[in-house]
Amino acid sequence: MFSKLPFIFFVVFLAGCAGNEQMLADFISGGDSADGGTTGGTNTTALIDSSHAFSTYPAVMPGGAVVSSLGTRSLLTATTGFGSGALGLSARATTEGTSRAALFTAQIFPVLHLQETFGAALERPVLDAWQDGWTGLGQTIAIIDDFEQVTLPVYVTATADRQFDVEVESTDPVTGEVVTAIETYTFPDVVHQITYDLTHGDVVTLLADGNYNQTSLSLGLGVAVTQFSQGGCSIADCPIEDESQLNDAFGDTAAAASFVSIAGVAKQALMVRNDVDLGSAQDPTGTMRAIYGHIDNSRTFSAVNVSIANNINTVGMTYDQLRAMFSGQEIATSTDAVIAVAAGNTGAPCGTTDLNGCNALAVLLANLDQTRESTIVVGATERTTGIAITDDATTESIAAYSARAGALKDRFLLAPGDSGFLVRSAADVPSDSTFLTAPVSLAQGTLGPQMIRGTSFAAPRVTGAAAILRQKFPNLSGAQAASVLLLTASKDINNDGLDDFSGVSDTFGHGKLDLGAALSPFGALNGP
Amino acid sequence: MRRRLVVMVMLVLLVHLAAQQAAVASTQSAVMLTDLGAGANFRRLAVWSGRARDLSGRYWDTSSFYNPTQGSYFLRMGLLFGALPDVLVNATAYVDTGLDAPAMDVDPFVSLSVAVILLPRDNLIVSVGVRDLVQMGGKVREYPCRDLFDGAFHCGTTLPWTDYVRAAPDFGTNRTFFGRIEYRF
Repeated sequence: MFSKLPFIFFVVFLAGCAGNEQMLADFISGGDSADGGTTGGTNTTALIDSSHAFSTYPAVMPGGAVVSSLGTRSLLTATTGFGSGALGLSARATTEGTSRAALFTAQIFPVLHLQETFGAALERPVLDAWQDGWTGLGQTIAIIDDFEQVTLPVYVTATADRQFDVEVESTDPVTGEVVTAIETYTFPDVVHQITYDLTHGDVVTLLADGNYNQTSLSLGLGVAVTQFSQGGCSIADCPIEDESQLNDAFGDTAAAASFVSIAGVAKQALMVRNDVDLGSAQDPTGTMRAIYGHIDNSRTFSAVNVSIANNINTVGMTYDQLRAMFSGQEIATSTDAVIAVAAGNTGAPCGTTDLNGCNALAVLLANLDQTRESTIVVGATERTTGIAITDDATTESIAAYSARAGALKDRFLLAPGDSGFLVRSAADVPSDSTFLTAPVSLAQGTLGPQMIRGTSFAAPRVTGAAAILRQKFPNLSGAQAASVLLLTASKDINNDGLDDFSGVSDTFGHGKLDLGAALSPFGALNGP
Repeated sequence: MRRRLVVMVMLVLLVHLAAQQAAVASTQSAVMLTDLGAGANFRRLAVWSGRARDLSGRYWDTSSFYNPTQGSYFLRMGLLFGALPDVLVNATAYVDTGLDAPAMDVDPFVSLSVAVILLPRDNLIVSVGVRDLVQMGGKVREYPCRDLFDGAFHCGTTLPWTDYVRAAPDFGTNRTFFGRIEYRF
């Protein structure tokens, strides 16, 4: 036998001459040519040389080969197929494609991923966060808001692809066995616009959480999806708007507006709605009692959103006088939840000796011992002054309507105030509502679609960010999480790449919410 | 530490065995030493460089957390011997002392790869084998870095530790089947 060794080494020599050192090493040692058996960080796969006999097994056909046989449904664009199937099944699929098409019986399951549908219209940082698994899963958010009073006919629009899981049956022509498989299809560029009757609290909730997985809609394609549990409407009172009607009403402007952001930042967080009556008969003392009670009850949550203002005339009032107003009411214990409270839509700085321009509720929460360290007062940015949507989405400034940091600058953070939710026209906004809106199109003015905006809708973005932050860093206390969000804020308000201030600003506070920075190491990175 | 000592002893024994077999091979040609390699560095797995940009674009260099705190050694030795008529067996043993770094700890690793070489005809060679057929140790542990707020981050990527753990690479050593046919016309 050893007489053949020279031949072996001849082959090895040839391989070596050919520069194939890997082949040489494999042949002789059965190991790779590196120092050791494997290289790290990768899942090694079989190293059968495809040019030799070992590669004669039938190749697994990609799913596309199966899907191409379903071409009779031109609307469908397949995204997956039987790629993971057994070798035999895949091989048959390529030859029996015609019979598979004939046996195709689609059952569209209610698995509309509306958050993905709207995803194309979301701000990029939020999308990035979702893709990286930052969804607020396992976190609880309390929304303290008015879920009863004024409702707005809000419509939302999506123009991105929608995906469906489809059960496909086929019969094996050889065995007669019925094979069932689930395939995912994409309906490309389906435009649908739906109107909801939403309260202020509904919009706030949708921004913080969204949770479109639970939206209940019928979109005219034989698709029924599950209940809209947290927003404000059920199947019965979510009227479906025909796409063509809406386009007739709004024309091209509406089409442009359909790409406006609709963000449910912490889409998998659990929402707890706490209703506060902010009707015309509001009693400031009773309202404050209710708000304090809700904050107390939510003290173990990840975050609490307070996008409301108590109906208090703070003109000429000092902080001590404000405290005295509610001297009999206190929050019982320190809260561990991050409290995001809207700064208010006064457009003025919160004074140090005169609380005019302040949201009194924000002043209280930012000063009370029980809540001070975990409170963030949220002002709003807008893309361009006076216009909610423009083609130039990079231009940003503090919103004209937003309260400035002023005396609350140490707890002040900015976030986008455009809600992304639209109403048809200014006439749809009830006169007794506190909703702030702005025309999407200057040309159409109040007759055209209006963007709902305000610091009320900036706060839930911070609330959602807090939930994501605490999902990723469970060790952070509420006070620490609030500090992280404040200290990592971007000081580049107008997005020109340069910081617009240093330190803490009387106007901008700490700056603009930066979720990416909040989820990055702060200060030094110490070793294990 | 005790495990590393045991592995060091094994390394010495293997070197001794290698020298012995080399001597045998040179005199009898029944067993041939086909591969011998050794080194004083850790190369079996890819180790994070520690240089990364975080989600906000800030650059970090945590390479010091991946520098071994003590020496790491490896030895690889392959032997070719006849098993049956027209059948050769090539066995490669590999042993290393692992890696001991602040952010990454790899246990010592021992493996044996085996290849069977068939010589059915004068101009045909068929070989099949399994890399790391027998393996012991090699478990990889990573430890998070901490920022000012005691937030846990992966030192090598600066990702939040919870994210990294979810998508961490598989450092496991898989058995790999391989085969080769050589035909001379």
